[in-house]
Amino acid sequence: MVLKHGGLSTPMIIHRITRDDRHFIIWSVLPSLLSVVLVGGVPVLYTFLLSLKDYQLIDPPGVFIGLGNYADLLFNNPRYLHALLFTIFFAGVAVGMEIVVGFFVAYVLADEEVTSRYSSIIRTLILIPFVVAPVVVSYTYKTLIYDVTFGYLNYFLKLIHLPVFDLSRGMYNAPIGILLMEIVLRTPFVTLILYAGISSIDASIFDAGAIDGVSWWKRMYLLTLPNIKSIIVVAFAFRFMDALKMFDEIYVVTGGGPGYVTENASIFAVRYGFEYFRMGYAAASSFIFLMVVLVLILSFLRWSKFAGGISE
Amino acid sequence: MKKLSTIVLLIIGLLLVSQVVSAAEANWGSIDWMQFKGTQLNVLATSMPVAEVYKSKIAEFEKLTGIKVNFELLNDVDRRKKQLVDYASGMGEYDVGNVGFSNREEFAQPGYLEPLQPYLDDSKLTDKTWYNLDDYPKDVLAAGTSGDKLVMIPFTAEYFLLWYNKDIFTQLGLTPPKTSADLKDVAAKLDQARKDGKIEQYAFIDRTMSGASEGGWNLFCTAHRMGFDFVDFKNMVSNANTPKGIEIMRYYTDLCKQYGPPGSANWTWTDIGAAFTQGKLAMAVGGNASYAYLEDKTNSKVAGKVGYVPPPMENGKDPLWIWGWAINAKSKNKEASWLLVQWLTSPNLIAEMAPLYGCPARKSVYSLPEYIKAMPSQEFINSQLWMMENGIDPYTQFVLTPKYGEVADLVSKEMNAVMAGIKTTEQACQDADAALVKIGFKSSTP
Repeated sequence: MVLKHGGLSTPMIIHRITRDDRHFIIWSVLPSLLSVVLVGGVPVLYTFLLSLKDYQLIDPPGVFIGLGNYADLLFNNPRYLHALLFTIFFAGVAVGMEIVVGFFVAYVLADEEVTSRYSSIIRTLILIPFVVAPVVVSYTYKTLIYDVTFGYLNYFLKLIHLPVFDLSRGMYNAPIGILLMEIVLRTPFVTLILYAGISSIDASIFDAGAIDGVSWWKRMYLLTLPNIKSIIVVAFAFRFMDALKMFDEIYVVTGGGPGYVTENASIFAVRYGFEYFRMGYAAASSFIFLMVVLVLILSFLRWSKFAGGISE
Repeated sequence: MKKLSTIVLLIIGLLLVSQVVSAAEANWGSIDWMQFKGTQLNVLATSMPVAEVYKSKIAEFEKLTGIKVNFELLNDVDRRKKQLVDYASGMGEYDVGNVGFSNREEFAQPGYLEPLQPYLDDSKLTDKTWYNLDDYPKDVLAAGTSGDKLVMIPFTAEYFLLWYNKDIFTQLGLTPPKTSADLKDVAAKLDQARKDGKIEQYAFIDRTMSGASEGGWNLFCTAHRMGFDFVDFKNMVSNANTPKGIEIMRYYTDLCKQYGPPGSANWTWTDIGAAFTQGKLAMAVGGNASYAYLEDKTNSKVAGKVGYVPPPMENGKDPLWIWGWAINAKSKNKEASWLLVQWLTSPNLIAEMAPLYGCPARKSVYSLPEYIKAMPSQEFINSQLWMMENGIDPYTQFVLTPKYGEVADLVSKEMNAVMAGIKTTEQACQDADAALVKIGFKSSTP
């Protein structure tokens, strides 16, 4: 085995690894490897083994049933399929909107005039959602904004004689309410990443565009977007993974209701695991969800030709 | 100098006498409470007012026994989960825990709870005459028994009462409802009075959020008081889609939809309690233990104005709810744990604490002057005594079945969908029936 050092401008130097080097490498990597295996690998393996059992905390011990839980979830449980589809659809819509809103905010922020005048205020405002726990934001929205009697939103709606917005009525109010909250809560993260990306674009590109008389719209569409495409992909991938495992907001604001309307995969798993105590079934639902997330993210990265970039 | 020494001797003498008197007052029976001195016990309890009082008293137990107690409080959902995980893993992390009535079978059937009769019969551990288990009403003690084994000792006896705003009822010349039909009539009159501008309060609301311990509990209890159960657990039959099931689902959701405040289609006990104490509700059905919350003058605008009567019922009774103390079958300190359980449920401590939480499981307490003085009204005490004698059912199937959590969650989700206007009552009952069939119940509807 050889280690290769060097770059484009320097000749390649080849070192032969000594036994001491090998020991050093092994001992250096081992703690991290062990922690990854213990924290990541063991729980996944345990979850998979659990998912093969009909294991109920209120009726132990569990019975091995092979892929029975998986078959039931996928072919005999419309509630789970609804939760899975809702999770993916909601995450896709929420993150898509966050990227659009986040990009426009970042684009405005990156403007030199805006940055020089309002940078401290803007940075403070952007950081607020990071320092408040999602569960606190959720309670705030539930009680101070959406509440029909006490909420500010309904107060203003009543002032202008519009119908009140009641989260607990109808099919669409609850998902829309959570979506709006999610966008307000998570867009700053996207904005921050895209702002960094836009700020890192070579200014001479925009100067050249300005000389050629490129309009504001074309500057954004033809110069800015292509230059931060990979950053948008990263922001989308991170946020999409995060949005798929959303729990706090839904649990606090609607509890998955009304009925099953806002029940996503996480709420489903927690309900089956810790309210119905069907641990094997909950484990299988989590494992299917893990597979779905992996497939979605890898497909997305492959589609955006980003996976190749990472592996090289 | 002689005078000074006389005064000192007098003070020492008085102190000694007071020690003797207090020791005599604090009668703890004839057992040796110090026999497990140095032991450490872990206790897990639900964070609720009575548990807070217990926690504040635990130093007295430590002084009496020399046993160190770590008393941990968690919200009820997490308490149940943590206990179940501890029991199932066999770690014996928590020696003693409070157990709700509905948890009894899910904990007792797998053998997680230690049978307590052997400890009661052991004269080294229990002075039976002093402990006086006969002080418990028969039905209340039955609630702590799984099969033929006593697995927990109750410390509260809880059930629903109808709360009503006395000022409004007097103003409108109404009397509290006794049956479910009465409740609907009175609610309609109150609603009309609100629409006519005579009162500001909304007539009535019940728990509407889905969940076994929220809307599920109140829906099932309402049905039971009307002589119906959505599920026959004994024969594993779903009655959700029967004409009676549909009728009761409609009764419950119509009452809440027609007479509840705006935005109340997903309300929990907390929301109802807050609305009632803020004077926004004329009636609600709530636990007898909640009186302290309603009568707290610092937070409640209706303190002193609340009437308490037995909840509307016909052909059925209200399911009894108890909180009890139980010992983990995997505890490494079972005998010391029994001393703690015995102390927590002792006649002395229950009598001392009852004025602070109102619904003691021991019947002798209800006639103590300190207790009567601390309660909001004689009507409240009378309603409790009536319920203890006539209104409670300690054998309600659904409360005692481990599957209750899942079943009530499924049915209440459909109730919640009706409240949201997503489903009709018929569709909701049909879907509830289908969901119950999927988890192993037979449908009683062809």
